[in-house]
Formats: sequence, C-alpha cells, structure tokens
Amino acid sequence: MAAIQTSSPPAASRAAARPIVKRKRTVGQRLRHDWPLLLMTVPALAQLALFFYWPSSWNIIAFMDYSPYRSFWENPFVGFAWFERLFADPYFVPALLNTLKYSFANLLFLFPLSIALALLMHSVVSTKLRSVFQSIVYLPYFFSWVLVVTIFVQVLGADGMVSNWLIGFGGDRLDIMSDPSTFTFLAWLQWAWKDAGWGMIIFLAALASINPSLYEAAAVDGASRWRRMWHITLPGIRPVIVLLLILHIGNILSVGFEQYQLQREAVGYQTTEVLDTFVYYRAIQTAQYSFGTAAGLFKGVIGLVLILVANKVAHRLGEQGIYQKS
Amino acid sequence: MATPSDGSNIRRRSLFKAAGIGAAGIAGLPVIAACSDIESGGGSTQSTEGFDFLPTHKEYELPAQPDLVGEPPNHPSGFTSYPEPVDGVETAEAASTEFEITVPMWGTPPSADDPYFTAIQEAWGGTKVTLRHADGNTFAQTSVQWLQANEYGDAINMFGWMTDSHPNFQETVVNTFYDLTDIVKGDIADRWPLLAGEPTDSWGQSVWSTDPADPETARVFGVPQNKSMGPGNGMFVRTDLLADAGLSMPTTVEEVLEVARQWTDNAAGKWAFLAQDYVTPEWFGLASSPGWAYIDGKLVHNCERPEYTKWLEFRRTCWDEGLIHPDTPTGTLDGHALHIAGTILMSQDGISWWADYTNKVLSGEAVGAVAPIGAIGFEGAEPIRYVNKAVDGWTFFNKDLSEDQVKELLDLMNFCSAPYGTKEYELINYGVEGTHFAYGEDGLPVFNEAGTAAVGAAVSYKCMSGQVQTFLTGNPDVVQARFEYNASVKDFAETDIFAGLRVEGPADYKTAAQTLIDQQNDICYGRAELSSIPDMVETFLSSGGEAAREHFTNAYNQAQGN
Amino acid sequence: MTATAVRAKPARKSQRPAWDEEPSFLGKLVKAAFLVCYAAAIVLPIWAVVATSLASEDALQEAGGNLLLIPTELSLQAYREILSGGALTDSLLLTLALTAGGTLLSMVLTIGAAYGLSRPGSLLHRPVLMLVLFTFLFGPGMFPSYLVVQQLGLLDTYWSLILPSALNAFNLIVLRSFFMTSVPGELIDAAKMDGAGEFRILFKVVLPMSKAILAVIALFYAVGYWNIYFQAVLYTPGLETQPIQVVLQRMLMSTQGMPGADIGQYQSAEAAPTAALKMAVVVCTIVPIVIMYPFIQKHFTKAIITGAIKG
Repeated sequence: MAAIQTSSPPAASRAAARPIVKRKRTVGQRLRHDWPLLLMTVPALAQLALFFYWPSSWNIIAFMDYSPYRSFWENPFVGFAWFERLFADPYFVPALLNTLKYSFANLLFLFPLSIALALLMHSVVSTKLRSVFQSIVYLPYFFSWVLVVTIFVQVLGADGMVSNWLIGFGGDRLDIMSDPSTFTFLAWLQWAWKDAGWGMIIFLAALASINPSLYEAAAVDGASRWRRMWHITLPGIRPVIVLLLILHIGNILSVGFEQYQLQREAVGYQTTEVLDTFVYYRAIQTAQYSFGTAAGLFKGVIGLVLILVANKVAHRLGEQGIYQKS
Repeated sequence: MATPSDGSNIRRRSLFKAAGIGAAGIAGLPVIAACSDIESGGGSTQSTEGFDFLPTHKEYELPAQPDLVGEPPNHPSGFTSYPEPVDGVETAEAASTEFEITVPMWGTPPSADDPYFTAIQEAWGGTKVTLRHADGNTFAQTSVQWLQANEYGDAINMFGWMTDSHPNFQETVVNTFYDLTDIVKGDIADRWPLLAGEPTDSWGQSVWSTDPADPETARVFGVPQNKSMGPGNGMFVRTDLLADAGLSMPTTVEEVLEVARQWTDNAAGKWAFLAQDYVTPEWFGLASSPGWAYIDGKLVHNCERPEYTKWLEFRRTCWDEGLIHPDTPTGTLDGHALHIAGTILMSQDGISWWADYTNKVLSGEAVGAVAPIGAIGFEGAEPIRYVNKAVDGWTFFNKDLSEDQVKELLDLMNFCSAPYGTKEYELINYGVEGTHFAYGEDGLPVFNEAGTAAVGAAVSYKCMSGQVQTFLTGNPDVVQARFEYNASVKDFAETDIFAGLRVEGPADYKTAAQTLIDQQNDICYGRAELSSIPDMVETFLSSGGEAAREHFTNAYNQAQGN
Repeated sequence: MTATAVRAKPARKSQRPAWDEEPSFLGKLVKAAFLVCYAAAIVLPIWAVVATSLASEDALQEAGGNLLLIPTELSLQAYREILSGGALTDSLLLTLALTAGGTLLSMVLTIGAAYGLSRPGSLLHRPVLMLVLFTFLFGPGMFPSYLVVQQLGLLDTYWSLILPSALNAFNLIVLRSFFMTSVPGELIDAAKMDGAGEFRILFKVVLPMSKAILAVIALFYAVGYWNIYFQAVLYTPGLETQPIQVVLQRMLMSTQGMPGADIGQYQSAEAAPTAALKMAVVVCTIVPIVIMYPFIQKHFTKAIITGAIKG
C-alpha cells in the first residue's frame, strides 16, 4: 500500500493497525464486513447508472450509420469510418496541438498560481482581511466568458481604458486583444483573472486541515518560516496537488470552448482552433453529429490513458493518486 | 455559408449571444441523434413550386387599401395612417377543445392569464390554447430533442433559420408532423378564406418530400408564416453626423471609402466602420447565400470571381488605414450603442434598425437620424441589393392529432392570418384597447406598460401563420422613408437563381465554406495576405466546393426548368 | 527573512499565534504590495460592472455602451426594472430552493460514495471506483439524456433539474481522497474498537474532521445548481416559474428579437436593455454568491480549531 500522507505523524502505526489479512477472507465474509460501505455507494451508483451509463451507451452510434427513424438495431455498423475521417481531417492535428499547448500552458501557470495564492492567503494573519480578500478574488469565476472577454476589451482593447490613457500621453493603442502572437499571454491573463481565485479555494481547504500543532512543534524546534512551509505545509497539501494534477491531466483535451470561440475572429482560427471548437465548426455546424460523437470518444480514450499513466507515475513517486493497487 | 447571409447578422448582434450557443453546442456534442452514414450529408434539393395539391389561391379582399402602393414582393406597399379596423374573420362555431402550442419567446413571457389571451380565446370562438413559451435563444437546439421525442404539445412554431440546427430536417418533418395535404388541398376559401388568400409560393415552401428525389412523394407539412419583403438589412449611416462633417451620402463604393477616410479620427476615437461582413459583398456584385452565381453558362462560387479579390482588398484597405473600429474583430462591442454614441458612422444592421433608431430619437434615447446606403457599385459596375427570399417560418402540427383537431387548429391559423386593418390584426398585434394600448394622436395604437409586457415582445400569435399581404407599417415617417428607399433599390434587387427550390449544400461543402470564412477574416484583419487567395480558393474547391458545384448546378437547372 | 527566535508580542493585540515570528518588514511589504495589486486587478473591473449598472441613461449614451468607472449620475432604474416583476422574485425563491435541495441531495450521494470507496480492499472497491472514474471520460450527450429524462417521466418537473446532475465524479474523488489522507486511521480504528459501525464512524469521526472540504464541495454543487440554465430550457419549458439564469438570460436577450424576421413588422415595443440593465443582471447573479462565501469560510477556521483539539 502506498504511503499515506497525513497530517498526523504516526502514519506507520496506522498501516500496522490495518488488518492486512482482510484480503484472504471469502466473499461472504467480506460482504458481512463491508456491507455498510457498499450500501453507502448504492445511491451514487444508481444515479450514475440512470443518468450516465444508460444514456452513454448511445455512444455506440459513433460506429454506426445511425438514423433515429429506424429501430435501433437496424442501423448498420460502419466500423471506424468516422474515426478515419477524423484523423484524415487536415485541421484535426493543428487543433490537437493547440489544445495540448493551451492545456499545458494552463496547467503550468494556473496551478502554481492557485497554490501560491492559497499559501499567501493562508499566511495573512488578520481573519477579517483574509475573509474580504477571499470573497473578492473568486468572484470573476462566476462571470461568463462573454463578459470576461468584454471586460478585457474594455480594459486592454485598442479603444479600451489603457489605450485611451496611453493616447492621452501621446502613445499608441494596445493591440494585445487582436494579436495572435501574444494570445497565450492573453490567455494567461484571462485565466489568472477569472479562475485563479477559484482554484485557490480547494487548496485553502487542504491547508485548513493541516494540524497547527505541527507548526508549533516545528517552530519551537527552531524551524524557519520557509522550512516550515517546505516540511509541513507542502507535504500536507501534496496529496491534493497530486490528485488534482491527475484529474487535470485526464481532462487535458478539454480546454473549454467559449474562450476560444469568442476570440476566434480577433486572433484567427489558426491560433484558437482547439478540439472543442473543431468539433463545433466541423461537426455541429454541419449537422454531422456522428463525427462529433467520434471526436468525443477519442477525447475520452486519450483521457483514460493519461489518467492511468499519471496515476502509475504518482505511485512510483510514492503518492496515493486516485486509486491504488490494493 | 461562404457568403454573408442574413444569419450572420444574428450571430453578431448581441454581446451575450454566444453564451447560449456555447452551452447548447457543447452540451450536445457527443450524441444528438446523428445523420446517417458517411456518404450522407450529401445535401438535398426540394422543389417548392409547381404542385397540384396546394390550396387554390383565392384573392382575399383587403379591408383597407395601403396609401403607398408599391410593387411587391421587393417593394411592399405601406400605410402612413391607421385604418379603422373592421371584422376580418367570421366568428367560428363555439369550440371547447384545448391545445398546447410551443412557441419561441425572446424576453420575459407574459402570464398565461393575461387578458390578452382571454380576449383572443373569446374572439376566435372559445378554443383554449396554452402557449409554451420556450426560450428563443436556445430554441433551435432544444427543439431538435423535442421533435425527436415528440414532446412539443399539439403544434410548434419555428423560424426558417432554426432548421439549420436540425441534423436532417426533411426527415424530421416527414416523420414528425401532420401531413396537411388532404385537408388543405384545393378550394379551402369557404372555411379558411385567409389561408386561401396566402400566396401560393408561401404554401409551396411548406412542402417536403418523403423522398426528395421522387416528386410524387411531396406533401404539405406546415402552415407558412409571413414572407418578409424587400431588403432585410443594410449599411446604416448616421446622416446627421455626415451632414455635420460636410459630407454627403455616398453613391458608389469609392465614395464610401472617401467618406470613411474623411470622417475617421483615430486620436479622437471616431471610426467609420464596425463590422462589414454581410452587407459589403453586394457592393461588389457577389451573390448572397448560398454564394453561387450563373456566369457564362456555368455556376461560379463567389470566391472564384475577380470581384471577390476586390471585395477583400476593400476590407483590407479599410482595416490597414484604420477606418474600422480597432476592437471590431473581438466581436464584443455593442454596435447599437456605438452608433448612438457617434463612435462609428456606419453600422450594418437588420432593416428594423431604421424604425428602432427613430423610436429611440422620439423617446430621447438617441439624437440625429440614420438611413441605409442605397444600391451602390464598385468601379462603375451595376449594383445589386440583397432582398428577403423565403417565408419566415412555419407552424407544424403533431402527427398524432385527429383530423378534426387539425381543422380546428387551422381555424385558429386562419384567424391569425388577418391582415392590417382588421380587428383581429389589432387584437393580436396590440391587444385590447384600454388594457394594452391607446390610440395616439396620429391614430396609431400606442402600447401602455401592460401592453409592452404582454404583447410588445411576445412572438405568440403574431407569426403563427402568414398574412395575405404584409405591409410597411408603424411610424409614418419611417414608413415613408422605407417606401422611398425600397422604390430606389427595387430595380437592383438580386434575382434568386434557385427560386422555387430549397437547396441544402453537402456537409463537406459547408465545412469548406467555414474554412473559407476563417481565412477571409485572416485577410481582412491583416493576419494573411491577399496573395493567399488563390490557395484559399484551391483548398475550398478541392475539399468540397467542386463537388458542390455539381449539386448546385443540378438545382439551378431544375429551377430554370432545363 | 531569517529565522529569528520565537518571540511572542503580547503588547500588540495580534491574532498571530505565540510561536510564530513576526515577518520582516520587507517581506510584509512585498506581500502587501502583491495582494493589493492582485485585488485591484480583480476589483476594478467588478466595480466597473457595478458602476455601470447604477449609471443613468445619459451617462451610458455618452459612453457608447462601454463600462463606466464613475457613474456621474446615479440611477436605480435598472434594478427597479428587474425587481418590479413578481416573476423574478418567484424565480429567485425557486432557484434558492433548487440550490438548497439539490446541494443536500448531492452531498448525501457524494459523501456516501466517497466514504464507501475510502477503504481500498473492501468488497467491489475497485470495479465501483472504475465506474466512477469512467464518467470523466465522455459525456452521454444531449439527446440520450433527454430520452432518459422523458422515459423516467421527469419532463416539466423540477426533478429534471436536480437528478441528472446530482453527482459530480470530480467532487467525489476529491472528497474520497480527503477522507483517506486527512482523517487519521487510528481514530477510525479506535472507534471500531469501541464497537462503532461504519455509519457511526462516518457521522461521529470522519465528517466533523472534514468540514472545510465539505464546505468547499457544497459550494461547488451549490454554484452548479445556482447556474442551471440549459437543462431548464431543454427539460422544463412548460413550467411557469423558471430558474433565475433562464429569466435573466431572457431579459438580456429580449431585443435580439426574432432573427430572420422583420421585427418592425411585428411591432416590437419592448425597450432595448441598456448596458445598465445588462450589468444589473450580472450583479444580481453574483450577489448571492458574495453572501454565501462567509458561511463557507467559517468552516475553514472551524476545521483548524478541530485540528488543534485533536492535536
């Protein structure tokens, strides 16, 4: 079993206390032992079965020549024809590359920023200040992308506040909103503004569950502020960081839709074409929904592989990950 | 879609529009019941005229004659005064049936017990209709599911552009809706004089075929809405600002450019243009959607023509010289507000911006005046002007209804078709006098607050079915101005080379056209050079354009009767 | 910042714990400067939204639809317009009820499954976890989901707004991970020794120690329910009272009118929503969120106290 990161020091004692013999029991014995746990998962499983698995079985039409006006099994199978078409599309690979680019840009930027914000916030002593600050920085998360882009145009656009201020000083207008070469930077600004405060919250919750007596003990032992952060804070939230990283990696091909679709005309389709916009423009708008289904399945399979790989890597590094080999 | 169409103005119009599209588009990603196999998406061509099973047209005598007499369809007649309303429909037999009709609704839906609805129910003889006011912004996407699951009540009201969201609308229609053919065939003037008075070509546009290739399978599946007439949009100029600057209304594209150069003042934050995409192609003689023209014995797509390069050159010049608001490509600007504030001189918009702007001036929300640029050409070429071509939409009935129920619904449709000058028209469009409106000084009905809320924005019964004839109505000054404008451009109205057909291009072609639009934007906003046009055209033709030429050529031949 | 000796400063009234050293002046300055800049970058645009919602028509007209930083003339017209209709109040109440009920249900499902799956090696642990993880990978799509809701007879009922999205696998996995890592195993084992069943352990030991994360997850769910839009337009078009986002979206889009038709022909009379109205609508949707946060945050501090007692 992987090492358990816990805020309480005696991790070893816990592992020892666990009855390892458990696995040798018969199914009947295990059922008698574990039925409350199973019972607790039943409502969630029922929900998934009804509203996820039942409708998801329709994904099979990605392999079909499907018409809603035939009975389901009369629709002939066409194998991987839709997928072949997907991979043959000249705009598919650029869209995939862009998706990966923005996904990693987001991961490498937003993640550290959210953690840094959480740490900073955690170190603010005044609860009043902390409370005010926190309840403000997460608000932009609730603004739609349309509003966020609008606000950015108002502030950073060529006719925006900053530009007009520059003009007043005899300068030039900014063109960051419509310059394809700086779009990644613009996207960073937009994520930092919209999502960082929200991302901070879950780390704050993780920080809140670290036992303060650990800090006290370390301080008494003469550990500096930085050493305490390094040896107590970061290990304390490491499982959360790893977990969120794995989940993020599984979603690496879903970078969102609106942010890119809205800015498509401003910076061009070559800069903003990601998988979701690709599907929208090449499948939804032309009513080729099977094509879209195939693209969705492709994303799902890649996501599954990535999650499994990331989880394995996490195990190798001694982390718990999402699940472990029991 | 390769060329700007009426549709693009919808997409651009609102700041918040894309939110709904995004939600609907992506939520629907993996599986909406799909179109058939890989060879499918081949497009279709549906004939909409020359049928012997449509209602026999019988002229309906108008209760009031318009004082401005035009030449429909491209030059509709107009009323500059409000006629004393008369009875247009004989009260039907008392009925107690109940119906539920799904209609798209923009804005806050009125309460179901508003006097508006009870008054209408009484007026048409007691049939109780419950309107399900579904959100108009998402209606196109959500209706896909409702129709396939047969969950839309007894009837549904749809606009023509909404059908684009349906994977295969022809299949949906013939499998989901009531086949009206046997009921409306022949002489129906006795029971439904107003429906019989609707233009035959409106009825023709309600025809779908079970098998589009086989003319024998064509049937009538819906009641057509109005057919809007005349130009549907235009490039509106603030005439007051123009006069202030000592400039006059441009009459050629060269003059437009000159005016734009003189008026633009970058440092002061004043620009001639905002978006230009769907109005400017007509200045260069390019064809409106679907973008094909018949030249020298052959169908040619816009992008293959030399005018296409000139058009993009013009737009690129405007951008390079800073004549366009620099934030235009971000698509988040409120064009109406910028036009009112005088930040931009010219704004492309739907034709109703004329009346809207005038109303705003009257209510003190704006100053000055606007007017659309007329039919103008480039380098002395003969101008063309785009005009509306098709019916606005349809009301479809559920296929599970009984014949008697359908007939009763047709009674209601007949009622809703009452033209300007009838009491029915007044009731449907303005509500009840005293409750919803009062007559103004010029005799025109003016909404009060209750009227604005209940009748003002509601689509409801206003476009259930088409009127015998539609007119320019409303503010007399605007009616007069529009009438004169239409008269001045009617000779340049673009002829529809696919008249009498409903043509849908193959899916590959639509995809190629989307790429073309993206590349066009790159050129217009300085991200690509004009020299890349031959490559763009090459790509377009090889990835679906050339195959589509055949499809559209067949349609053309059918339309011209070859 | 060097490691200075631990010194308590009883003279100054501070919430800083006694063992914590006072940071250097420079460190404080850098931190303060960063926080102020960051907060300003967030607050100014939000302020512009609020200011615009309060601006008079003249001021807006002059601004040409742009946001304002300083509303020259204050006007509450936009808010009056929004709040005048009874429909909006009904809708607010409905959305609050949906949010409360939905969040409660979601928490029950999520906590149950998260705890049920928090013992690796328990019966069927792995396959069940896999079933949950699979939901990350693809979506069921609009039409199949619609069919299920239809077949269950939920169309045009408020259940159709809650049940289909009641469980979020992301939240489930995060919560499960917290249960596994932040609740000391020896406490659970001790409880077991005392003869406590799993349910009792969950309620008496695990949940009280996970307040912070429970608060966060409840917030995630609540926000989801508060923002319900597309489900409502798809599943419940026939209901008289609609969730707030539907009402607001309709208000925003009211004069988009009937695309494709000549609006003038239909005597569209409704006044265009001004920038003030649009922004007032935005403000209305975030005010409840601002109000909600302190309740969530309270649990962050509580968890610390629990931890301290435990320690």
